[in-house]
Amino acid sequence: MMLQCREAARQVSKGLDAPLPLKERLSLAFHLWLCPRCTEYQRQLLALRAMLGEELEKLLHPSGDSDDSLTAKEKEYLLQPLTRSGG
Amino acid sequence: MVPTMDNQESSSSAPQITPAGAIVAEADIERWATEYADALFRYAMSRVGNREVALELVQETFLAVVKGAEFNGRSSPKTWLIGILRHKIVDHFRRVARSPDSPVADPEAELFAENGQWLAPPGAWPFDPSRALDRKQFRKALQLCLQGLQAKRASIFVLREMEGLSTEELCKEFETTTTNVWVILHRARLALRACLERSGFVHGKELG
Repeated sequence: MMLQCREAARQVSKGLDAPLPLKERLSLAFHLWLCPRCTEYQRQLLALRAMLGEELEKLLHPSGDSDDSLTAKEKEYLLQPLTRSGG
Repeated sequence: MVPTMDNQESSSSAPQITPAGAIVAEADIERWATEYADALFRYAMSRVGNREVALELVQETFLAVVKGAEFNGRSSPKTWLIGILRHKIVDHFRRVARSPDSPVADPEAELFAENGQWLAPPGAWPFDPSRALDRKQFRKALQLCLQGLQAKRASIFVLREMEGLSTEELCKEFETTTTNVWVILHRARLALRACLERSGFVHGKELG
């Protein structure tokens, strides 16, 4: 029986976390071949994953456009308990 | 897809005092805290999306160093500190996921018709990751959408996609089954994509 989109979406997701068994892989491939909607869903999940990976890139090479810098006050709060003697 | 950061150059100007396998010298702690606090904070922010929580996690990281975590010397101090922070982040999400949640709808029921078809088919994604502005807006939308997810779904999704934990590791951390982890990740992805679409990052336009 032809896979439904609901089931195909489950398998698309599962395929991002584990290698699918051969039978599931084939039925999913066949569904995706026929279904632009689920193909787009898969493409977006992969794009999302790639972008989340690039977040990490960005943190390692900050370009200075981030709002996520510590304020002077936050930095002070952070540093204040960090001396063993002052502990 | 566990991120590796070992190629990262250390930007330290002063020489490092602490040898490998030793607890970190006080002078190094203060210098590393000054030098890497922002990087660690951004890392935490991108995962937890909340300034107070991120600040606490960074502080816990440095406190672990003060309490005598041994510097392994196999990586740069920054990489080593991020390694400690990652453990703090996993702990945080485990705590969050344990807190009782109000029951949340299954996104499958909202997004699919009875016959298993998409109700609103996923449309084209107009987001251009090469544009800095888009990227910044995307991060904002992503943080909001993650905060809107059920806590357990968001926790497991972030640890999977951003920290690269495997299904097996997630089962262990959250004391649950593989199948359950897959179901949670699937629901998180469906709900997150739908939320990003509502934020304007994907058009719900009809395909074919």
